[in-house]
Amino acid sequence: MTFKGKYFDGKSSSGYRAEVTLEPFHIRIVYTDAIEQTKTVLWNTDLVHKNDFAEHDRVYLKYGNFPFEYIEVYDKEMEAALKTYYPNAVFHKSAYNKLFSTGVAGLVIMAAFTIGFIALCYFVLIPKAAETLAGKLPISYEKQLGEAVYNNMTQLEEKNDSCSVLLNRFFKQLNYKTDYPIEITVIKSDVVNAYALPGGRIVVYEGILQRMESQEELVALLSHEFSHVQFKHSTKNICRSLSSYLLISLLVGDAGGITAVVLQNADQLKQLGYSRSLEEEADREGMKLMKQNDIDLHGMRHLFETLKKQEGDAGVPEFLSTHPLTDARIKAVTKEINAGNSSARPHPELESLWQSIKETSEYE
Amino acid sequence: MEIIPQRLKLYGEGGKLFGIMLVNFLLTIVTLGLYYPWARAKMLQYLYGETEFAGSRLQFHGTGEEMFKGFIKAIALLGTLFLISFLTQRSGSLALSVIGSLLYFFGILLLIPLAIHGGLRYRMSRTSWRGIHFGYRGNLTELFKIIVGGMVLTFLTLGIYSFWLSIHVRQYCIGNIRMGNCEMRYKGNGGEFLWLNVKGILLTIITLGIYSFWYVRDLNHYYINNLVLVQDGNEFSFKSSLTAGDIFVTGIVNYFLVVFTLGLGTPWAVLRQLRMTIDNVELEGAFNPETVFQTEEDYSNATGEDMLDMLDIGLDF
Repeated sequence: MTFKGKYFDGKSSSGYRAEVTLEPFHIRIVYTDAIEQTKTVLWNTDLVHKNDFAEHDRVYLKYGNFPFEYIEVYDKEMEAALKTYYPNAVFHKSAYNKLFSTGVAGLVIMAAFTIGFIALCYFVLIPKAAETLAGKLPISYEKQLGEAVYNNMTQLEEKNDSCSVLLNRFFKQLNYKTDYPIEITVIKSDVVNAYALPGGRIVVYEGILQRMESQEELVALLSHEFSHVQFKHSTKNICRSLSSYLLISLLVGDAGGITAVVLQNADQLKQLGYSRSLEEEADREGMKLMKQNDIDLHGMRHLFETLKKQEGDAGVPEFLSTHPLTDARIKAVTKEINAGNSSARPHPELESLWQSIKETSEYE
Repeated sequence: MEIIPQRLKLYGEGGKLFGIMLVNFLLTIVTLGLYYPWARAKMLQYLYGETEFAGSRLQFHGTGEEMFKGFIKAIALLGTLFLISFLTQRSGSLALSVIGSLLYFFGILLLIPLAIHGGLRYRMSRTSWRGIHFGYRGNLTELFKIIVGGMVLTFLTLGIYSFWLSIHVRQYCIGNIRMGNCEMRYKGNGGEFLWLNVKGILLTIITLGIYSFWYVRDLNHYYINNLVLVQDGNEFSFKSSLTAGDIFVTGIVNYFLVVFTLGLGTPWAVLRQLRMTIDNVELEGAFNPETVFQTEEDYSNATGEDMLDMLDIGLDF
């Protein structure tokens, strides 16, 4: 089969009119050169490269090594003829082209597949991987992370040092077993909030202390926050956002700015962006700890009720905004109490520390 | 004989580019980013193949393999710098971490000439027109002197010299580009360029941004209209007919094309943007497209090309 085309010899830019014939194992090109001489070249089909993206009415082929010989054929039939004559030729074997030439339906399927794959990564694989990673991080690393976030978040806040000392002493009385060096800081502010950071820091605002009516409520709060630390919830959160961010930057093609993410997370932590399941776990584990120490579980219920009252008169307090619905939490505690799992014995040390804490958290 | 100016023209269909970008995207995701160099090669192959000069298409011959090797080398180079800075930061010693940061900063600065040099050599060697390859004959030491010297002067003059630096780099790089036996030249100068920018910025501020379209047009004209192709001792000038109106309309339409399709319209916007620049360029005078001869050598190291991509420096003249 013979086509008309233009041949460039790789030496000069003048194209020669050529007849291109497809023959077994080679392409024969016959052209008339500048001095009207007829010349013939044979292209071994193994060394021919085809342009993947030429329009459908033409074919561009190049041959050999640098600098390439080159032909242009403007004929709709050429493409099909190449396939018929050289079905096994190397230049057809572009995997890319195969994907690409699947047409609209193929592209739609690929798009769906891509989106599905990304969704799978984003919602399943990455959170799983991040949680595994977080579980493996050494405590020293978590501490470093927590310190950085702590410094960043409490920079502009005024701390109540004497109350912090008392709260730490209060917590020590509980004797919770952990490898984390728990350190509690009280912030002078009437914000009704408390949060835990990776590595052992717990921050409590005076606002929440003032609204508490019993030591058991404080135990409940600290047990809840302690569980966040003990079960690495913040670390998991950071790992998760970090890896999601990595995925997104991969998609958008911008790998810069990764360092900013950890600090961005500082803000999210402040709003306690834990998932429902992590909060429930912290509640559950907190209750378990209370039971082990014979602390009345009513304390946790009172804490939730106090917070719920807050909800009523001051909109949704920060502490609650992302926590499981308060009613659901109250229900869960009540269920536990009704099951007869709550025991209580007097704790005079806690009682006296609680009185002092109440006196020192005098923010107006 | 009537002299017909030779034009540049961009073909290309949004749908096809969309397909290429989609396949690239898919493969890059599935390979966790490793496919990226191949994706870039495909993209360049397509866009070059759709660009016509004097009736014939350009060709990009770079391959994913070459660009992948360059990609790895570029990552190794930048990664080493990053690692040094990271380790010294963590050492806890202030002196060490200052030295580390300086090393990182100057390392990147010194890599810029290397990247431009290598990138140009590769990109030019891999570009051909009618089977004639482009080439870059610049000397790394000289480019180095221009850039590092220029940076020092820029620093000493509080930035004012940067306009001369930018033009000198352009002159040197373009002046060393060959298309076979044809040479390129760039005729701009720093003073004019400074004035153009001062005028552009001032008027843009005074007119609350409206002048920016004319400012962009002036920059485009300054880049294109000072570009000269030399064939057998004859100089032919490039000329841009881009107008402020073109820039305004293309900008607005592209904005809607991208925003209202949640990014799916990007390929069409990319083509519109490129077409606006390319289709407005013509080569004045009697350039003879039949008598260009192959003169340049092969160059397959893509490290510079990949490094430019990572440092986000474009090779767009």
